[in-house]
Amino acid sequence: MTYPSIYPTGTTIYDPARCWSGYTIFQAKELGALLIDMNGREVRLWKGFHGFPNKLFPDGHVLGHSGERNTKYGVQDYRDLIQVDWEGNIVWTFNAYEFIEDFGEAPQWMARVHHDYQRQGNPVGYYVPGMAPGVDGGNTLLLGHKNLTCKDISDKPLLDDVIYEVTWDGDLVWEWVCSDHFAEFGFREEAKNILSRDPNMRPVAGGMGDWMHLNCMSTLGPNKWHDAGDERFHPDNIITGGRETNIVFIISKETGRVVWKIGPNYDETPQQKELGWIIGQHHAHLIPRGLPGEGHMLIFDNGGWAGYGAPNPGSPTGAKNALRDYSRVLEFDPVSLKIIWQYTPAEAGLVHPTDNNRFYSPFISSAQRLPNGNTLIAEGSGGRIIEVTADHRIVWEYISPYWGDHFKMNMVYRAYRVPYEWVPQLDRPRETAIVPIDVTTFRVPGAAPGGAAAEVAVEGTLPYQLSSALCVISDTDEAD
Amino acid sequence: MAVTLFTASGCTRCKIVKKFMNEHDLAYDEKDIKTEGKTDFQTFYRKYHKSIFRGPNGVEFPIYFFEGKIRQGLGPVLAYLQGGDALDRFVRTGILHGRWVDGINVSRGDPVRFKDLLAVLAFLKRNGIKLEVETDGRNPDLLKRLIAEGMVDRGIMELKGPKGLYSQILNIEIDPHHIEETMSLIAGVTKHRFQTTIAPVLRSDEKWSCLTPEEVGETAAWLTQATGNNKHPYVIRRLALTDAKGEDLPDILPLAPKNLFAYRTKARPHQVRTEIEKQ
Repeated sequence: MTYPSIYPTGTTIYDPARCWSGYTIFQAKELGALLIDMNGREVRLWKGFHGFPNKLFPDGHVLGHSGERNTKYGVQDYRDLIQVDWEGNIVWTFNAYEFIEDFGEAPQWMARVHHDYQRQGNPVGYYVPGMAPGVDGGNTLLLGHKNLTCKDISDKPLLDDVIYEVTWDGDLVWEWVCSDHFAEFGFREEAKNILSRDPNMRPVAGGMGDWMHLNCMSTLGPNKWHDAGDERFHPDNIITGGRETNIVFIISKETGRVVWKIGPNYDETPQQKELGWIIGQHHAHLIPRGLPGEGHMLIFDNGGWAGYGAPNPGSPTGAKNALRDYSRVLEFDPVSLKIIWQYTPAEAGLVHPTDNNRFYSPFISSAQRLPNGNTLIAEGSGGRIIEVTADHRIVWEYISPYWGDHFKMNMVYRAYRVPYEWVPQLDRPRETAIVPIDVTTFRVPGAAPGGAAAEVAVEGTLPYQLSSALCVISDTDEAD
Repeated sequence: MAVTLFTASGCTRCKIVKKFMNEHDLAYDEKDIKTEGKTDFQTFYRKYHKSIFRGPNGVEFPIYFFEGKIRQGLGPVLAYLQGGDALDRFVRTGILHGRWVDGINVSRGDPVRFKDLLAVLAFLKRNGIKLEVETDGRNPDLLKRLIAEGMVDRGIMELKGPKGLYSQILNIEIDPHHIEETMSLIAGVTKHRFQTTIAPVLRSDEKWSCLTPEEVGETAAWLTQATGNNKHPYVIRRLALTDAKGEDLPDILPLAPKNLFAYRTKARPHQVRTEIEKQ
């Protein structure tokens, strides 16, 4: 990840003709919910409004949280889920999932929500033609936490994941607890072994095992698979995925059972081998009906380090035993597992494997399918948001200028593009094309321009060849 | 014909029963189902299997058999040996294992037989057994004495419903103060739990219907009011068919599990740790 110490932030590329232009919302690190236009103008900041993630709904409503539980006692426990209007007035709030009494803190109800939530009317929380999330009613699904023990997994205290549904009035009407379904995930014995000894223990409140770490949750919505009679893809069913286990799975809303999954083992069928080992993935969801690629899975496959299994040189204990130093965005058919579209270092034009890590976010990140077939990708760890076309051209790029004081990264957990119409409070912004700077000639003030002051010839030198300077094999090497 | 005691090799509970019988000079014919008594037990089981409780871990031992009378499990066998049929309603076959005995319900039995109940429980305690005692609020004096005697290691109170419905649900006149006194007694036991089973109630119009979420909310509020504490372990239970056996309940199907969430939602503002029992 060869970042220079100095580089531009804000919008760096914008091709209005090829973009699906609109506003983009994301949580600016330790600042608030930030709405920007295509040129990076900060058109609205809901200051201090936390977002894990923030989502923008029609009429300029924004969802987020009032804050996080004291991190001495919880891991990524957000206190509530709040919907505010354009002016920041609270329209809806929910926190009554668990009553929490932390030492030195005021006793309080908390939603313990983390990573995702969905409002009825829209399956995925981003713009889908004809499927707007409710802003003045409808149930909400939340991904949350619950502390418990489960001897089948480990004798250690666990930070388990739950999914629950609340009505607009705040009544809880459905709940699903991840550890109840441990036997359905298909862990091998070596995985159970290390999971039992180290269920991803987090050093908080005496230690708790964040064993699964679900990090996305959405409903499937109407789709062609269910239309064809495949009940696994019932529109009400929920897709989620565990970052620590490399599993993406669908649960039946009716029974709670796991009805479809990929992982944790990607070496069991030719189809899974072809798909490749998904590692530490984020934002797995089914592209909703009405968008290009509808019915396909879209996943930000982070790479990095994740999984439980047999020890190897990169993982002496078998914890986080799958490793890869680049990311992939995958769109694939959930039945055949055939990859339909992808954006990986190769599509980004990077030499494999020597330059792979220039498309790499080992944690967080997201991918949103846009109505014109483009994909909005948050390569989160570096705070980079890009819009790429179906033929892999970057037509918009934005680098977050906000680094945290507590956590010194400009990370962007997720970014969402919304249509201008969802923000009727603003006039449609001016769209100014930004042609990519030629970095071979661009210099910062004070730096000398390029080009040698003088050139001399050395007799007997040969022309440069493909990989002459490499110590490793790359995709530039040609077979004899 | 002698009493038959079916036991299993290595069964500590069987040893405790044998010790009781020996101390009281009660003659019995022991049949170890893992050794020489295996065939006899198979014959017995074939004939009486409908009367034998089979829990999640299999058949509970010891089993007492004499002239058609069958008692099963440590608590019920000792209770029968101590007091005959009279203690049956106090002590039923439980599901706990190891050092715990459950199935003891202080509200169901006849208070005049309290002395016998106490003798059974004291014997169990002397033999290292921990006791889980249940109540629905009736017989608070007995509960008080058991607690005073150190006979309650874990207390469970089945809150039948809100104050206004309690008598109606139990079909006897109840002094609400007795229920409140029991709530306080149970709350004082270090290991305790309150619970409400969502069961049918015969309403004043003579029609049966299940407790409503609002009524469970009232019940939780009553618990808070009576104990001054809104953080008790409070569990919402779905009526199991086995619970309904012999209770003269109408043929109303238990609620679907998903319908219990509404009850938890209504109870939680008053008892913040309300949970739904895992089944």
